[in-house]
Amino acid sequence: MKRNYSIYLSLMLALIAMVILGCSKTEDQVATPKANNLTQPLQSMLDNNFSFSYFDTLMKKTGYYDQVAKGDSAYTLLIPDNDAFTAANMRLDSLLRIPLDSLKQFVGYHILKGSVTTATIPQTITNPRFSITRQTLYFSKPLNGAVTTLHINGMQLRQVDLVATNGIVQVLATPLRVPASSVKAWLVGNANYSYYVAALKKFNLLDQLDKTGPYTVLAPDNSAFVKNGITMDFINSDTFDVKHFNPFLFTAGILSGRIFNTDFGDAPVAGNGVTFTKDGTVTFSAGYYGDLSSVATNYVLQDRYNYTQIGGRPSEKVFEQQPAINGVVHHMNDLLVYPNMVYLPQ
Amino acid sequence: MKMLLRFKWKELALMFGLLGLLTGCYKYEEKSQISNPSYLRVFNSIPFNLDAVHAGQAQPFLCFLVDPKFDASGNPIDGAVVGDWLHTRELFSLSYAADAATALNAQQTVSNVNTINSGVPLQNVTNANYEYPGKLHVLTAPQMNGIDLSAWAQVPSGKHRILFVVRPQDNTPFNQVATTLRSNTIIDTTIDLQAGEVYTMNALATDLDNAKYGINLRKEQFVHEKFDPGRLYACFYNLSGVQPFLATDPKFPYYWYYTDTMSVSYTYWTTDDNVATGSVIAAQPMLGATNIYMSTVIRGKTDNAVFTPIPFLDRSYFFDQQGVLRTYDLYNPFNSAANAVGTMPFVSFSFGRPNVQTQDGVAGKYSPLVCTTNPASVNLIDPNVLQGNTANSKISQVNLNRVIQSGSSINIIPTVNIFEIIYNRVYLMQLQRGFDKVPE
Repeated sequence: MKRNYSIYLSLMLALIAMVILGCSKTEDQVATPKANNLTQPLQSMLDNNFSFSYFDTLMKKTGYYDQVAKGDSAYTLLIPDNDAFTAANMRLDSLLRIPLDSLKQFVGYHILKGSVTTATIPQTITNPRFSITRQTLYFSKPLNGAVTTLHINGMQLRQVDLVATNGIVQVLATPLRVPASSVKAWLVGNANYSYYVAALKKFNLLDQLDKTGPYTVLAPDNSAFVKNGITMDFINSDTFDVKHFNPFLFTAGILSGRIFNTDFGDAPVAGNGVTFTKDGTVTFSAGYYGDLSSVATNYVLQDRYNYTQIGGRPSEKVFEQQPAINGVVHHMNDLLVYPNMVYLPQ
Repeated sequence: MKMLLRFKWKELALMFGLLGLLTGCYKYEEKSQISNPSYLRVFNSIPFNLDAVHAGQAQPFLCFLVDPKFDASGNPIDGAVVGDWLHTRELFSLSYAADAATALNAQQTVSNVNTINSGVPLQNVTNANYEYPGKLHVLTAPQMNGIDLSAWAQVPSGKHRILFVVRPQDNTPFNQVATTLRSNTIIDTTIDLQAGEVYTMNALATDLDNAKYGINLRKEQFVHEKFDPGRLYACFYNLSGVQPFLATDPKFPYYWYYTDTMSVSYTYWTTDDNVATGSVIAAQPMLGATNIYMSTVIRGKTDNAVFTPIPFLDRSYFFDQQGVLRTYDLYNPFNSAANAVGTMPFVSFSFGRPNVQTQDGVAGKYSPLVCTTNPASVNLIDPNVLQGNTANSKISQVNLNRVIQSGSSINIIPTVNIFEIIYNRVYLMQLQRGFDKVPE
């Protein structure tokens, strides 16, 4: 009996092996990733995280906290933590004194409907998404390699994709700036750029900055003019115009496109950041903390790639870049081109 | 009966089990044949032009769809033919499927800043296919006119809608990518394929400065030509778009632009062993094969192919005085000081504007194309090194003489070469003939 049992077992095993190994097979299917287990709701994350306390207070003051808690939709919160506000010189008490409508614009610009994670953003720069105030935010991802980070309007994130039961939190290293109605409106409305605005008017370059664009402007502040000995009287004089100076004096700092600081790291410009225009080059370099510096050069020889620097090396801190509906304004602390380097002999 | 009983049943059962193991091999379903197929090969020839100051450009990592299907949001999700993970093409390609056994996520070019997978740690490397079908397992074209065409895929003939969609740089198959990431269709057009014909399609940037894209579909003439087995052949196409800003002024370091109507001439070079080896001046132009006019190339025109015969040298030219096989140009991707000039006979091509008596020193200044590189390693080298295109430098491509070593024998085979000029790149598709004689 024992011998019969072992014979039957061996025969069964052999039969099973032939059936399994002889059948036709198809290619393996790719496994669908499973959803993560969710933890707490957004409002609890705001309440329970001390580093979010400033933003939590602002959410409650503007009524957005209740909207998010109502649960009619998922939301993505772009939360600048307390350190981010401090680094941008924004005190909570000052923010709470802003008129409520303006405060709602500011806070609402940090909230999107739906769950916006790094995986849902295409791997390119300046992907537009809308906040709940219907203003546009621009999400960028590094082009090369498998990097899982985002930049939003040129700002870095401290933490990405914190999952809540009713949405996502992205933690910003810098608060976002609400977009201005246009590049021209921002410059004209800001007394810090009065010299630059006057100069652009003389060179017939100001009005275009109200058009569709987009334009990226490297705007030197008043101190940049003053420290180079350029007074408002000189700007308004008859000898400060396109007849006396190559327009590259200011066109070097006006670029087509919507360019944020972090774009130079996400989408590097070949040749060490050198861009070529009709009259000269502008070289951009982004610093470790996202700040931006630029150098302009002119062409010296006709046949060969050669140049000399013709201006300062103006630079900007990352939180000083101002988005506008039709572009971006970068606040620069020196002149990109010195007038004497592009003077046209009369 | 008694003999049968003598058989040990246990051993018999084990024997059957072993037989099952050995014969029960892993099987795949066979693909069903396509009736009246055409044969199609697709290249993504869109340069990687996206950077901080050109944000509107498309990231040229695409999915190619024939007769697309759409999801509920109206975004393409699948197709009758799917060419996923379509990377910008390599400089050199063969007529047969050289990459059929290469993994989709194999690392390729070394140290090129702006290509997918370059310099990325192995665990982060994403799938990349440098052409369609490329690494994909599909039904291929048969040998035609003595040429191995297994790099061309069988596709149904007739009218088809074609899409090229920008896709994320990850390993997710296109039909599983989130719908928001499948919405950037840069090319949407219709093609008409005739049964039995061979087609090569290039996805192109038709206007680099304004981010406009389109295709060039070429019905290949080489399957209808009669080639002399004792000759090399070369043919040129210019598939560039409109002249971009960076090509307009000699001041720009990337100043180049192959003019819309252009003459091409060839020179055949051999090495004089009496001159110092490894030196550039060791290469001497051959008498009777210097600056020979080949054809006029018109930008965008692909129906006037001229396969110009070029001499195929005697075997003795390919070996030095000691009987050692001559060498290709050597490029070291990690140490340019170790680069070396080769001694293999090679062909160079020069370009000019026809009907112009003298060069004016500004326009008409095109780098010569020099075919000296080793086909085994050319696609591993940074294309910007091989084809830097600055004034007075050369553009490198693969040697037109195919050297195949088999055991101890060295075969030198003539080839048919199709050069495609696309902006500042000269791509080469080299056809290797499968038979010594063209079939009647």
